[in-house]
Amino acid sequence: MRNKRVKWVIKAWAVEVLVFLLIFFGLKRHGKFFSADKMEEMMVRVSESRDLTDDPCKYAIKGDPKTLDYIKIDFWCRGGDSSRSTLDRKGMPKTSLNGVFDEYYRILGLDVEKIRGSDSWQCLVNGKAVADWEMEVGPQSTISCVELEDKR
Amino acid sequence: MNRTLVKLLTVCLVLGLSFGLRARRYREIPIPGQSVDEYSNSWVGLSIIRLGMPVGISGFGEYKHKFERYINVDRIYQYIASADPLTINYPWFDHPPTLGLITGGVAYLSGAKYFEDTTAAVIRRPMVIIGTISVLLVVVFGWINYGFLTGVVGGLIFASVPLVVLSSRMIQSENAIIPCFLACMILMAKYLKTNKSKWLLTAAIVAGLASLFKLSGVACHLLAIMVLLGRYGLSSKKAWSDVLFFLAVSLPITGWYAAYGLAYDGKTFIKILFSNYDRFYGIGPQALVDLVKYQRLTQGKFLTEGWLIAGWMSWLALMARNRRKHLILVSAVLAYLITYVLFGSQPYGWYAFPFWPLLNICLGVLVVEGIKDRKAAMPPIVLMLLVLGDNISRLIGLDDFQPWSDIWRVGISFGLLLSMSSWWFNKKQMPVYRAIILILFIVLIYLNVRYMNQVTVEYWWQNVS
Repeated sequence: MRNKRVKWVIKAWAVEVLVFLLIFFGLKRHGKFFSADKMEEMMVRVSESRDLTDDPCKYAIKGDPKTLDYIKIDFWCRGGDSSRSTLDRKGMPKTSLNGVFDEYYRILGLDVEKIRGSDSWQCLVNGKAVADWEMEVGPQSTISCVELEDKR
Repeated sequence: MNRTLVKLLTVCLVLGLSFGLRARRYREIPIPGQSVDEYSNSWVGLSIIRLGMPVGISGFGEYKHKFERYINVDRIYQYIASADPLTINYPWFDHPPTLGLITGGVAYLSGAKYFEDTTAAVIRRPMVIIGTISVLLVVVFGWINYGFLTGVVGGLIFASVPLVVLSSRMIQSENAIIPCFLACMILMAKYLKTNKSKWLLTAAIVAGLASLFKLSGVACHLLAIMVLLGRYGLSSKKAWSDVLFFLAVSLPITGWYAAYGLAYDGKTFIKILFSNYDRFYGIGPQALVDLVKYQRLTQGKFLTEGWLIAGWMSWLALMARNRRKHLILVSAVLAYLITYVLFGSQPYGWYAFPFWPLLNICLGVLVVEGIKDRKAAMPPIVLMLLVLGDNISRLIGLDDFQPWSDIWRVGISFGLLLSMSSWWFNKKQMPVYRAIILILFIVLIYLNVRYMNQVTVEYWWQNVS
């Protein structure tokens, strides 16, 4: 029995070393195709199966991030609905106002262009009307967008 | 009808129950996002396939590439109250990627291209299958070691206990270690019965594979050592020869994890491997008591389960009995207990998952012993009365229970007296005790299924603390 076991162990080691090398070289070779851009796309692309909405008051981000480097985003819709969210600035690839909106819309699946540049909405940053959509949004900033009454 | 056919049909029924309970509402409960590890594991697999690089969530600071992103898969940011972005790292080395390759691979074959495509509806599907396979292995282990009835009873318990059903849906590596662990136990049992090396060889291969799901799978290696030394003795040459043979085959398979790490970034891999040992020991010195007191699903979600408390008591009872007969089962719980304490960090519920099939089998052994022998009827009757109380309490609230309280008082007291009366007679077989145990058992399984029907998303939010 001992000789039989020794033979089995040798065969097992041969297979195990082969598999080790296959895993090592296989992954190394496959890893050469890695692209940071493709990774970013994999992380941020919205799933086709996710519902999209054009109602910014439909969804909000629950809870508060555990940081002082946050941005609050509030939407106040006609009819009394609202959506209030707080996000960690570190989770935003770009912290310009445009960048923050793009990221917020992506996260929630909002149809992007309804609010930005629209006459129906007025947006304030820290209480001041938006003059430049490329302005930098600093820590503990509050962005509020109010849906104006329909004047027709 | 052919006895074998009847047995096979019975096993199919048990598996059908298991699959049905696990599949119902699997995508909703546990609430997706309550453990983001489920997504992370699948992202690691999907990213290895699509990018050639494992990308996942981690809390370790040793990674070179680290950034935060909001990935709103399953709209977790709308349901789970945490507005923190996910900390993404690559190449990811927290654990071996094997489970991720399974769930991420299933997602990929289902058309997933991006992280947001890996919804719970897709990635939990393989876990339902793995959970059902685990039930089959419980049946097989019970059957081989204790007889067909024990296999069925243990299998029915493991198939239907609510906490077990809910936990088996989660994409946690421990749910993949469970079938490996059970398979290892079966193979060790076959080896001890036949003394044929092929069983020991296969057990060693399975033990190696278990550790490729998570390093705590080395509990399988420990199990083999404990069983072999327990069977043949510390001073036995055969025991050590068997242990060496086993480890010579199993440990190099565990080493495949190193191939994965070295292929991407050896230095970071070693740092992450060793920083696992620096984790905050959140389970604390009270870890062993907490295992019995609290049955967790995640870190913060509890579902007290009388079945598991009864299982722990059953394990202790078996420890005091015939060492040879219960060697594998007792050793299995002990092996994983040692692993749990050694590897422990935060009190995440999933670290305890591998105990549950073992405890369910322990209880199954006592139940069947009680059915076969009047003298052994008291423990399973008392334990099942314990479980009965727990099962009833979660089906109806305390206020609704009040009209039944007198029946309960008298009924339980009578039941306990009845269990004691099993010691008053001389006849080995007495149908009345067999009937009581069987009726209690069937009622308990029915209550399990009834409770699982009640667990909806609304119920979860209101009642699962």
